[in-house]
Amino acid sequence: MSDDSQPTPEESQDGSSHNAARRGVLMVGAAGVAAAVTVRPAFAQTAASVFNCEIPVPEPVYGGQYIALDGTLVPAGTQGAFPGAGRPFTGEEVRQALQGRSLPGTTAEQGSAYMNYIRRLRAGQSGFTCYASIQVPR
Amino acid sequence: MSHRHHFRVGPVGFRVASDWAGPIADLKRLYADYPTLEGCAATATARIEAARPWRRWVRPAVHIGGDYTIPDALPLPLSQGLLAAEMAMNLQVALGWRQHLLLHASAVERDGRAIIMVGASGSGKSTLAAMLGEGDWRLLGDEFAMLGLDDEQLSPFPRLISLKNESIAAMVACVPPERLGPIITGTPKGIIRHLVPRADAIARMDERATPALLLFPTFGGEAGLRPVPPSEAFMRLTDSSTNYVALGEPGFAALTRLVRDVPAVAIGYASSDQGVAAVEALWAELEA
Amino acid sequence: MPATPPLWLAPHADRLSIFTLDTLTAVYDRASGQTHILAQPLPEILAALRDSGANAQAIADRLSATFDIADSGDLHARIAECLNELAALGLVERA
Repeated sequence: MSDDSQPTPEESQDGSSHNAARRGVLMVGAAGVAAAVTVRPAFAQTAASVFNCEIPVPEPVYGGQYIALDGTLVPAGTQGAFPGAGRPFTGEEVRQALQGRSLPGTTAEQGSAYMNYIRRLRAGQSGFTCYASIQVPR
Repeated sequence: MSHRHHFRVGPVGFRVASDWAGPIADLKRLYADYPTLEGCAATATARIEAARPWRRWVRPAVHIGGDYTIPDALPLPLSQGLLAAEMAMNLQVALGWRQHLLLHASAVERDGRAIIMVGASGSGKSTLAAMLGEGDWRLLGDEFAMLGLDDEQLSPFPRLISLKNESIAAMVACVPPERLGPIITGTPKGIIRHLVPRADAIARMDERATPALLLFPTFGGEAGLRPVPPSEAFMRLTDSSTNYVALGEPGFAALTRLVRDVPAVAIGYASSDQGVAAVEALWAELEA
Repeated sequence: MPATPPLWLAPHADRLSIFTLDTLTAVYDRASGQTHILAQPLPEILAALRDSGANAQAIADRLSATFDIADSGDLHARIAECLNELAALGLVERA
């Protein structure tokens, strides 16, 4: 591995060298706590930023299917699942839903199912680019 | 595509083509003092067009395109044609530019040193930059900060500044009308008006600057100031970069160097005047 | 007869670019093009594997020899958990 300024244990406290008897402290963290974050790509966040784009739920090609609570597609009429949305949602509506507002025209459960469907979208599916272009800032 | 204009902004040469005359007339007026394509590092082609020929006249719907396009994007009404043209230009840079690390940030310069103001729409970065740019600062850009991959220098990219809603009135009061674009209503972000950068920003668009402060402003946030550690600055900057991932290792090297070398501060402020004062005070302290 | 614990290996010397930011470390993986931000003890585990592979217990021993371990609890179990996290990122592999 090529290292850039990786501190040695003797230097980790304040950057200056100590004799070998003085050791740095290592915080190993609690069990079950993730210690890594991977950088995800941010898509075009441009002027008047959110594109007036659309996310259909579900994709038109699956128009007859229902959306289960976890966002997967299930046959029409499945108990506990919801029919697709009557109209596509705009990028702005989904962005606000990601920040806690509800999707317009939906009950809490239905909106949650739709959001899970949207979160599962992959490249090539209708609405993916729109969803990807809405990046909620940290 | 019968209406065209081309001009250079910093390292980027833009060729804009349009199915409608209006937006091109706006661009010609507002970018009148900008140089020709001569001397630009690369050109980007932006297009605003109708989906079908008759849609130029019947319920005109402006689609954004060019070298790069977003397939799911809905069109804009013709009344927002200038906005569409600006978005099309931004899209080409955001998706295609590889010569610098792009940060979604505004930037201003004084004495060769620059403040990079990072934030999403609504954070106030555009208004702060516009106000500082009318004062003792030179505007480097409103939408993108372009960081050199080898030398950590900022290349100016002084496109039109996008003013929104409440921030429009303050600027209208202090700039001559020929520097203002049309009032554009009904956009997803509300009312928008474009501002041409001051003459010095245009004339000196090839003069680079050394980043000296990373600022994370929050308009309406808790007033006050908080140092931002390098790891947090790094994560927030990757979030704000449209080409960090595409650049690969040069992007990693440029960004890690930046957060190592440049202090980062988050500020909250309740009014634009307060924001400007906070920035000036912070700068005075840094440079002392 | 208990199974032999896995032997973990760090990637090839040229694979990662590592940059200490503050208490967190940025790592660029040239093979995947991904950037990861690692908290302790992940960077230290990678460093402990630099010269030779080791199982979780041996890594825990190497770290105990070099550092004062701050948190109480089962160090071996925590290191094993961290190794799984590094493996999921592609930053270490089993021999």
